[in-house]
Amino acid sequence: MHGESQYRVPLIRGDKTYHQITEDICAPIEGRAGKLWYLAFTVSAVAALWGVGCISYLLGTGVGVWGLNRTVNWAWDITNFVWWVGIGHAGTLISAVLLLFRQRWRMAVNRSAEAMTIFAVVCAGMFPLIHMGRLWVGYWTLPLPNQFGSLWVNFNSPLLWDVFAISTYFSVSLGFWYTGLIPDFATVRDRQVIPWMKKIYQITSFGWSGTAKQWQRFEEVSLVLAGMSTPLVLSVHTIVSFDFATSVIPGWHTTIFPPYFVAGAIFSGFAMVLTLLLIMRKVLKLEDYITVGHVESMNKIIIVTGSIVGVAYITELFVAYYSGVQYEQYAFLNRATGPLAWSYWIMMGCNVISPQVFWIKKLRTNLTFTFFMSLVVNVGMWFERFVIIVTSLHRDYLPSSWTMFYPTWVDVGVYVGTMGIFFTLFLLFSRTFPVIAMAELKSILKISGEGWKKRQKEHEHEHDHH
Amino acid sequence: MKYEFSGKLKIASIAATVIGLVLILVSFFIYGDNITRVWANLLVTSFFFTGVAVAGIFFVAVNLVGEGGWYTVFKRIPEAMSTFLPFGMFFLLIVVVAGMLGAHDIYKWMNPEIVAQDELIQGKSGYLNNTFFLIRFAFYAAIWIGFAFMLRKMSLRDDMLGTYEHYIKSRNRAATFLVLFAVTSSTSAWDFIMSVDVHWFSTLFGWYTFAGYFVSAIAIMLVIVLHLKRNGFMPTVNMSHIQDLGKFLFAFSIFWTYLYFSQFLLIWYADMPEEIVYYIERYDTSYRPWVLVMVVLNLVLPLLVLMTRDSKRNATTLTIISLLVVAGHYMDLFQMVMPGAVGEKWGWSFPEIGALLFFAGLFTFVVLNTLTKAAVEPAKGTFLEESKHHAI
Repeated sequence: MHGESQYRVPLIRGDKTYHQITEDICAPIEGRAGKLWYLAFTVSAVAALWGVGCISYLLGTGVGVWGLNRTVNWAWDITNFVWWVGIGHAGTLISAVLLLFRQRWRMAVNRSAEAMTIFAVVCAGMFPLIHMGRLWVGYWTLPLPNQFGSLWVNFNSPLLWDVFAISTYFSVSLGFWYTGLIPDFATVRDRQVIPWMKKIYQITSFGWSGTAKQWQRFEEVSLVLAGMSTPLVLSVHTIVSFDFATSVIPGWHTTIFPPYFVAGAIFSGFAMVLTLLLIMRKVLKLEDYITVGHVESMNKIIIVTGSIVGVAYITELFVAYYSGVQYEQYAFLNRATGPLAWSYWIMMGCNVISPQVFWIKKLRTNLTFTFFMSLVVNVGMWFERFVIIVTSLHRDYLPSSWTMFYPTWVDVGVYVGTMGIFFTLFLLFSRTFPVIAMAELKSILKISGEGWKKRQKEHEHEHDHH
Repeated sequence: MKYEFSGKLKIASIAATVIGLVLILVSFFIYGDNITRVWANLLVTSFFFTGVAVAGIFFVAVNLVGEGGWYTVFKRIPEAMSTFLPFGMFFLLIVVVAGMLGAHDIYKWMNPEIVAQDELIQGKSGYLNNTFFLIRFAFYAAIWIGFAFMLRKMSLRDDMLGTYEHYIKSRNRAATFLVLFAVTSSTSAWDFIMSVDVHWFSTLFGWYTFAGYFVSAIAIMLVIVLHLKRNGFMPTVNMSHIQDLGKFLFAFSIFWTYLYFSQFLLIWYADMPEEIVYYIERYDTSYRPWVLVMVVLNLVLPLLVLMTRDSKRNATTLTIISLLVVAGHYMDLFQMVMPGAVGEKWGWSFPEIGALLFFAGLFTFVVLNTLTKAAVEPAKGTFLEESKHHAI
């Protein structure tokens, strides 16, 4: 569709040309990194190394170094896993679902959101592997004939469905992300003056020359991948929720889990996108492309998904009462008033109550406040998984085995380590990749660019006079 | 241009309503020993069309809040659909009040003798009791009907004003509706439908019920848009609008299946007696073929047929698929209510045909009659130009 309403806020600020967009987005790759980048990189890399150390210690000693016990036999490991998988949902939602809904603002954020998705899934995937204790037989999770030394997998287990869902999600997301990158890599290649870097971008751009035929095939592949990604947005977290909901544990077995987990995942994913992009736009001077309008749209998604999660919490509470099942009722009573009640109220406060402030336009267009809120939501969503997992386990059907869970320094270390890995990867991405999809963004310049919209308005006025 | 409710269609809708009413009345005499079956059919059909009507406002409200522009040229149709709400809710109220007076036993918790012997129902009586139920009913009626008429009125005023300020005002009202609907969509599904199987519970039930009537509303909207376009009342609705509505039908059919299957899979997998009983009553009884046909109509058919671009641009294909999907979701609601209400004493005869004809006829009449009241195509609007030039 061409020509949009003058009431819509321009998505590209200032009077840009195609060349100016290329210049602005390639600048971080071609220029030198600032001190702040090196500082952030050092901190992240140290955290990542610390994580690698903790994982080595864990693998060398055994999962006994975690705070798990016989009653609470799943805690931070799976909490972190679900948290990271959830964060990885924003990328696909932006690139596939928002594409279907023709949300043009996605074009400035999709590239970095997809990158974030991939890095988050990498972090998530580590947890099941390290929990198995023997990394070198990680491929046993796949259905391989017994001759491989493995045992035939249990197809009835949602944990196996997770293996399929997450590996599919990872490969499709990676393929989608990379396909979009090809023309942009070619642009970087054509501008590059350092020979060895030119060579690298030459390889990564697959010899793209921008012919009409290539663009046509590019469009076709993008459409097919978008079609494949859309069900994946729902399927991954649905199956993660099955890990819990197929059980008979009170607080886990509830039918609302699949859609509610998906909503929560999108909620946390957008919070992480905001955390990263609000810093990135400043550091890489991309304020004209990632505007307040973009942030406001994402904050609206935060209200919607946060409220869906809120409705789900209330539904669970109500149905626990309504069901008349005393175990179910106790599970929720224990969450809200038991020894881990503080975590429940952090969850409620951060996920349900605090995002409601975004109903106020002043607050959802305030960037500093949004940054703060994005951290609040990330904390809240971590606690949501912690509440679901630990509070349901620590007081099980048998009161004699009731216990508490306390994390050890290894639990914390592995978690901090994955954050280090995540930020290290993202920082490397921000210096070597075009962080905004240039080719896509250029397609909306004449529709949503501020200068073009202004000229269109003047033209309309002239038209009115004659 | 205003819509002209043509003679043939008008007579057909009135005839359906009258024949339906006669069949219902006759059924009360024929099925004197199983009067609940007649009432249960009235519950199914009145809830179905009430849901479709409220989904009409939901569609408008979501587009207002999400700054959607494309739907502007056909917005009168979902708005007109929402004007059926007072009628749908009136008959829903009759069914509820009749239950409270003991005319039928769809809702076991309304019967004091049953409640006295049933500990589980006693545990729910803080929520499931006549007074609170009627208060909630009044609340739903006030919110749904109130917002349906308010949003339609504001939309009609937009024809004269067409200002951004007016749009913002409508958008804020729509947001208020969405917040209230987020809660009432679930609670109403628990109240009217889930409480039929009074022992059983499912947290997903509200969203699953909503998905069903939302898909039906999209399908009905599509049928009406195609009908009006064919008769030349909507010159600015182009094939892109139609294809997009077809995509909605496709996508939300899958979404409905996702919710239906999630609820089923989790209950089947855990196999807990208090939950699995719901599916035993539906799969291990005479309802099984009904349920399987329902899944074919609601998933397999739209999935296979609406996959291609061409089928979403073919008016005949779209009309047939839409009507079949509507039939599928009626069947879904039927199998949600009947096993709990009458058990194996169900059938497909006068009460079923009567209730269906009566409400389908009345709905058609009311909605198409509303469409004759105002110009089908908006004269002004913030995103009207965008909508007129919608091209994909």
